[in-house]
Amino acid sequence: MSKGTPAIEPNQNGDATNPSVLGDESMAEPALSPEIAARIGESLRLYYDRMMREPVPDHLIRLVDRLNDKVSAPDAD
Amino acid sequence: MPIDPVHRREMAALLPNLLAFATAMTGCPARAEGLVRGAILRALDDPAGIAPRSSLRAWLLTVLRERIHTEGAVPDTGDHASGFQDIQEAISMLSPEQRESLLLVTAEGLGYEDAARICRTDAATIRRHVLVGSARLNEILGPMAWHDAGRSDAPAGHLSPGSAP
Repeated sequence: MSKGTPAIEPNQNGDATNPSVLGDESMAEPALSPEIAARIGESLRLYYDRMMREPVPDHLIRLVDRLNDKVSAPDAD
Repeated sequence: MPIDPVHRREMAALLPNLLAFATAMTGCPARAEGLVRGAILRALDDPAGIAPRSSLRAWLLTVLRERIHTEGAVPDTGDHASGFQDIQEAISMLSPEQRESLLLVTAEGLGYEDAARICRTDAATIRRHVLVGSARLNEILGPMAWHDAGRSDAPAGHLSPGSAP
């Protein structure tokens, strides 16, 4: 596993055949039809929403609860 | 910034967002849990540094993203408990920058400016990552796949363009 985060290197996972991933703003941008772009967005949202419905592990909820012990805030707004 | 019970409840309510973001970034639910735990521990360490409620989601995502990048946002394609093998795998083939930009803008619904603050870059860069990442996803999965790619009832293996229904 690589330590630290390298500067953006789009070519690593980007498409070598697509010059627009080289990071230069002056280069051409990929063009997707609005329909395809909308489908991609919808699919990503469904994927994300499905993950958000997974149960949250109890230990994380208990951890957030510990904020109560750390900070007593008598004045709720 | 005092933490009142409402503030704390809102943080708890954001846990699913944080887990989804970290899982999509790493491809591994178990790693995501550890990363989210680390982000909350950071808040526990310095409760005074927690953002006000109006910007709590952006603050938590910023802290979480930093932890993901510190660990190295290397996707783990070996373990998929989500039943979303195809789209998860496709996402894992994007660069971390494309992945986070797409997730924040498309899935979290943030504007380019808000996503840019979280990723410590500028809006034009986020926009470019979203465009290039979307085009890349389209290449990977193929236009035919988009009918089913995000569907929760789609069985594994159903998403490839060539597979039988």
